[in-house]
Amino acid sequence: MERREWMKVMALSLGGSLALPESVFAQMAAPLDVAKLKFFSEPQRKLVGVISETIIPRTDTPGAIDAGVPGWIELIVQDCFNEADQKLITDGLTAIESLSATAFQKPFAELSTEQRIKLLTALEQESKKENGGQGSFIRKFKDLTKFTYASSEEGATKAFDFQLVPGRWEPAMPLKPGQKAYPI
Amino acid sequence: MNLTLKGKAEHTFDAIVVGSGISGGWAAKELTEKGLRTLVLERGRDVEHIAGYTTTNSAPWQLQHQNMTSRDMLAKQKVQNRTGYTVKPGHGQYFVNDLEHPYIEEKRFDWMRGYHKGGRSITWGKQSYRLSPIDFEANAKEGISIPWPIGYKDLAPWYDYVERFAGISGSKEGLDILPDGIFQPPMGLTPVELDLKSAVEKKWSGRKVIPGRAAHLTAPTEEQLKLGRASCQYRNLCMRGCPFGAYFSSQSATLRAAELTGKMTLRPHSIVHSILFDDETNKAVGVQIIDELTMETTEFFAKIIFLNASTIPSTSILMNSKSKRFPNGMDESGSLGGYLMDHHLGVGAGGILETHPDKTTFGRRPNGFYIPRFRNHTEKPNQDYLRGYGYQGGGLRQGWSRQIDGFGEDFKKEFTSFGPWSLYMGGFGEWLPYEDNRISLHPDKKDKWGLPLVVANAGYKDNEVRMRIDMKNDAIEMLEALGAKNITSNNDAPSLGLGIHEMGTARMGSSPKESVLNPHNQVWGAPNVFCTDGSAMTSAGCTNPSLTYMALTARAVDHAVSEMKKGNL
Repeated sequence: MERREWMKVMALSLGGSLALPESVFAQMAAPLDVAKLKFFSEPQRKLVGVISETIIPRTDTPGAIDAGVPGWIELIVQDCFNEADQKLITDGLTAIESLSATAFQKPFAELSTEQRIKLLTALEQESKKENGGQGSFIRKFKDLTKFTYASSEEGATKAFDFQLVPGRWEPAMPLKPGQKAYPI
Repeated sequence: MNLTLKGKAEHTFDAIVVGSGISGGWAAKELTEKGLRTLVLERGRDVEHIAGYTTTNSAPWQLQHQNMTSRDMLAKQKVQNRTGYTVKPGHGQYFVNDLEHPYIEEKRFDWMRGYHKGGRSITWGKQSYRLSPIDFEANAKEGISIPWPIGYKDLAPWYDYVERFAGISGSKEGLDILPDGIFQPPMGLTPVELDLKSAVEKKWSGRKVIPGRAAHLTAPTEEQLKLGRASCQYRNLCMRGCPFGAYFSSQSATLRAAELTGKMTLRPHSIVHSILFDDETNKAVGVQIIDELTMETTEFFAKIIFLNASTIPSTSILMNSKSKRFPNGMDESGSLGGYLMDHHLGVGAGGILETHPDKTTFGRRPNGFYIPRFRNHTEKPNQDYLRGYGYQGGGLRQGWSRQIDGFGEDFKKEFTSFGPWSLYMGGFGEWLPYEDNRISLHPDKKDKWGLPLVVANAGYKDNEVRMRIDMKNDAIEMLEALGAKNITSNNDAPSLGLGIHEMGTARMGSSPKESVLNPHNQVWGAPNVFCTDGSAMTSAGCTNPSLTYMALTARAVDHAVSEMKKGNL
């Protein structure tokens, strides 16, 4: 998939929803080669973008899409996950759309932010009834979103305090209110 | 041998060192500094110091799959991945391709290794502890296996010697179970680790919580600075190779020192097939190698041979070195290949602390705290077993990977903030030497270089299983004493190899009837062959063993060169 095309898909992925400003797609970081992404169908790709941005929205720091999270997710599901985990993800995406259709009679991308959070929260709470949520789609997808965001340049350097070479060890540094955590 | 005289001269050195990892690097340094022209044979590729560390400065987003293991990597390194942390894009290149390096597991054996210059000195954990007099005496006192032929006093000056050069950060504690050494300043404990120290030392008078002793420079000496080594920069990306030379590796320290003498020739891609033994003089004359890339066979000659290929490869070379004198390999005791040990781990406990919300750490300390052995020492065991264990652990604030409920802005705020402090400790237990924990060479099956495949048949027994019950429960009790919440514990099935501390199989002893190596690490019957890696270990202790290999090596080289000068080798 071409980068330009990818940007278009991402831009369209929120459909008619006004919940997310169009501008979040303008400077999507792309240190990964989107031409190599072949795993998701276009509707799946859009949905991954919407879910990840719902998990980590743009605030005063970059959101999931700014950080290239959807692309990293696709790359990792495609190249790192085994078949069972790949199926967990694709089945989970299908389930989200059907939950959305049942609850709101709309595709997930067209829901308001509040509705999307409500749906994901219900899914998360439900999943925790079994094995504390381990092995569920929502846990897997959320963990992957967290990982790819914290490991991305935008996320690590803007939402977190990334230090490649800290240069010293302070075992007990005073913590300031609102201080950003470390990505590694 | 079809070499001309000139050819033979070009292939002749004063000494040959097989292997360039932790102990081989030491042999190279000591031999060359004593003036011997030394050939170092490395079976794998060259890895240049700094320039060869291709991933060392990569941020997560600059690594393949953000440093997550891909299926393609896993297809080639499935065995190497058994630790769960070894096969990552950042450092997977320092572990072997399992497809090229098969072995046979009659029982599960997790053989984590890297075939390249520097070996596992690039990826090691750097925890550096001395064996104690108690460890050296245990076999004799308990009638287990055979006694060590040397005592702590024999090795103590050599521990001093290697610590001074390698650079070990740590604190002096005056403990008999964990002798002090030559230390650079310790890496400080975090607030929750200090709380653990107070709580544990108050409740149990025989237990101590101390900073880990690790081979990282914190106040480099002039000698270390001259080698181009600098203080630790607290990146904790050590397994990728350190561009500051801040931790001890062959590249940063010993091989660099050996290079500076101008006496070292290092030949990569040189797989040693066997040691050449002269039945007339009763001495080894050299080694036969196979070029890893061209498959060509070559011979090299020297007066002294140091085997430092790491535990199992060194033993395999001894087994594969057959002559009239040694028709079954270089051993007459029957102990070669037996008594394989590791440290058993994968057992411990962790919890959450509600204390010190106003503090965090800065920097990534490549180290933690250490709790020296107390069972069968200051305290009797609850279960019936011999020996004991130490704990390694750390107490840091939780990061983004903790479980946080919810989605959206509120979730993001918490996700990018510090979590509570959490503290984990994991035990490292002594594995007893058992005669039937063996490796051998397969009679028919061979690798692509025609070398016989290693067969592993070794595992854990009752002593290890019983010890682990205490290892888990003591960890839980210490976390309770600290006041930790949500305590969770684990006791995975112990697997030989996961400690990556393979030891034994060519043990030292005081008689050729029961050991492979004499008290100076010379092969009985072939006194100019020395073996000073993990294979020499007569028992395992419960502390990380690399420092002991360094000390054994420096001591053996000193002996070798003085014997050579006397005309005895």
